[in-house]
Amino acid sequence: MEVVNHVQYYRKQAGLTQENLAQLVNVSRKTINSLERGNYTPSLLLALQISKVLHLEINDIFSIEE
Amino acid sequence: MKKIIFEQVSNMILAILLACAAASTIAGSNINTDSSDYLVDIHFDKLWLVFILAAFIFTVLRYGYSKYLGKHDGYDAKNAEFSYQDEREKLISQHATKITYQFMTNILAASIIVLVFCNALTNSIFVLRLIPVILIAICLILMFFVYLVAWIVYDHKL
Repeated sequence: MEVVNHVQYYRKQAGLTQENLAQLVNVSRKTINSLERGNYTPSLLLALQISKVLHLEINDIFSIEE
Repeated sequence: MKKIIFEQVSNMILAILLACAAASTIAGSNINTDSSDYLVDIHFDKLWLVFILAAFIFTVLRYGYSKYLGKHDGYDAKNAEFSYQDEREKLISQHATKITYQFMTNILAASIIVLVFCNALTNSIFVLRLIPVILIAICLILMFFVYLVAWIVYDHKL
């Protein structure tokens, strides 16, 4: 099982840069970049923070791929 | 990543200076167990002063780095090489610590073997007194180096 995310798509839709999103959720830009590339699976707390900042449900951004 | 390089390089320099100072004390000291008066003459070289001075300088640098340059990098003088900016760096730090631990268990076991063979290969008291200091210093420096490399590798991976 793998966690897939659509952070990049929704971030661009919200008109945010990686740096903007990183500042809003209190992480480094590198973490957002790594997350978007699928190299890093965020904690539940970070996933919830991202969904809150992007005004979306967590399920819209993150899903499990079998 | 800069904070880990800064921290580990300064740790390695301090470990080298400490090892040199300790080795100079061993080389310069005189222990005479032959006479009825057990004579111990411990000599502290100038290298100890260099080590203390370097430790002081690095403490000031660490404080300065945590207050100014490393402030946005998540550097914390108390946590030193275990400092992290966010959860990804915390994970990197945990991975690097695990790798360092695994490496150290092997290198320490190897050190015991080296010590056994050193005892078998030399009769020189001077060499036998010096070897543990050198071995421990090598282990310490390798430990800092492995943590640094593991941190950089995981930083690129994650």
